[in-house]
Amino acid sequence: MNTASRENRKLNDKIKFGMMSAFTAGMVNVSSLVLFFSFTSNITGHFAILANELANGNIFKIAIALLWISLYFTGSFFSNFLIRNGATTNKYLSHSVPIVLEIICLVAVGLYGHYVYAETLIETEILVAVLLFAMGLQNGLTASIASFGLKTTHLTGLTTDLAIHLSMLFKKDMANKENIRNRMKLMGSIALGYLIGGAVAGKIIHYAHFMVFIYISVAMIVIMVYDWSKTFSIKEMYKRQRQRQRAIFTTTDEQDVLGKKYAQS
Amino acid sequence: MKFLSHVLIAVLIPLLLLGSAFVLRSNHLSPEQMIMGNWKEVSWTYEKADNKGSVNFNAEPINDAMKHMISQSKIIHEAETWNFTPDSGLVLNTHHKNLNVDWALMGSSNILRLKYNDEFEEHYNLIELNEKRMVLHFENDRLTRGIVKITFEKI
Repeated sequence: MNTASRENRKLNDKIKFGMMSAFTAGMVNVSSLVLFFSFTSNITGHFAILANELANGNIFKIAIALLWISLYFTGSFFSNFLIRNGATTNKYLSHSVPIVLEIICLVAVGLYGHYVYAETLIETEILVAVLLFAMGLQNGLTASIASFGLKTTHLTGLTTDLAIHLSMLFKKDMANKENIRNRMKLMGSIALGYLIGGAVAGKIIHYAHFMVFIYISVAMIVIMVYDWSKTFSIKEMYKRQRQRQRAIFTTTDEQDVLGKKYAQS
Repeated sequence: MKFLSHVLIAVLIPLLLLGSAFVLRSNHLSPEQMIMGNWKEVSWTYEKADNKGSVNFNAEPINDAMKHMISQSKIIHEAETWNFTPDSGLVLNTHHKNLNVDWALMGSSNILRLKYNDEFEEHYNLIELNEKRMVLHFENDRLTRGIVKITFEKI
């Protein structure tokens, strides 16, 4: 496989993975907005609330904003921690642990919301906190896998980057740069995935209510299987490559031996 | 040893953050507790409005006739006092009848959701809440489009 086609394949994998992750993040964010009146896939707004409440001296709200921000932080922290410490032993396992944790969080919110939720403030605060933890896990996972270049749960940075890359294309000597176009493709796909996920959630939430989180968990399982298939196919690819290289070396060695025999005769 | 210290940090940092948030939360009166009791409407004003011509809606309080028009299709229509009870119930007292609705605080306790008969649902932004005063905002598109501000006092 040549370098160009390998790069192309890498990009396609990134696009698919990024789009699927963004799709679920969009679904989670719109669902939490409709059910809890709070965003859960980004924390910029919660930082703004924290700053405002700090100015107002409202300790209770400061505590809640701190709780939510720290849960998102904890999710991202654990994700990267698990990936960095598990990467040497089993890459797939280290990727799947954050996804499994995220699925557990989503299923817990879905089931609790469907069967127990009495709409008290403390329940809302805890369920939002669990969702923020789940989104922190997901964002940490995608960012860690893509060497911090890919974030799928919020679009502020992505929109900025997309605009910067677009402006680069207008510069004559930059216009043909393939990697700028590829980055734009990736970012555009993530934004589209997020938008579609949000729209789907907005459409089904009125019928599904809290069960929407169970559907999102199913989508997460699809992502996990996709990640597993990619890790497996990459392993297979390297295995085949090694075998091929070994075969070439063996043939070359045999030819050398035959050549020497011919020369002696 | 190095791995163990990493794990310790990984557990300690989140625990510290969560612990401090919980301590702060539990030592202060929650908005859910603060809202309990009787509240009397003291004023209706426009917080923001599309001013038409020379009329500045922002400057003046909304009169009774306008208030009647604005709130006509709302659950809170003609309510004068609001009595929040601990069982998520809210009794809206008008001068001729009482209306029982359900209430819940959502988001970061910045949204007051009212539900009537599991059919009608309305949301108000809870802008200010303390032991004496409560301020609610809601978006209005009747008469003049804008944000209406209702101010309450505890009785």
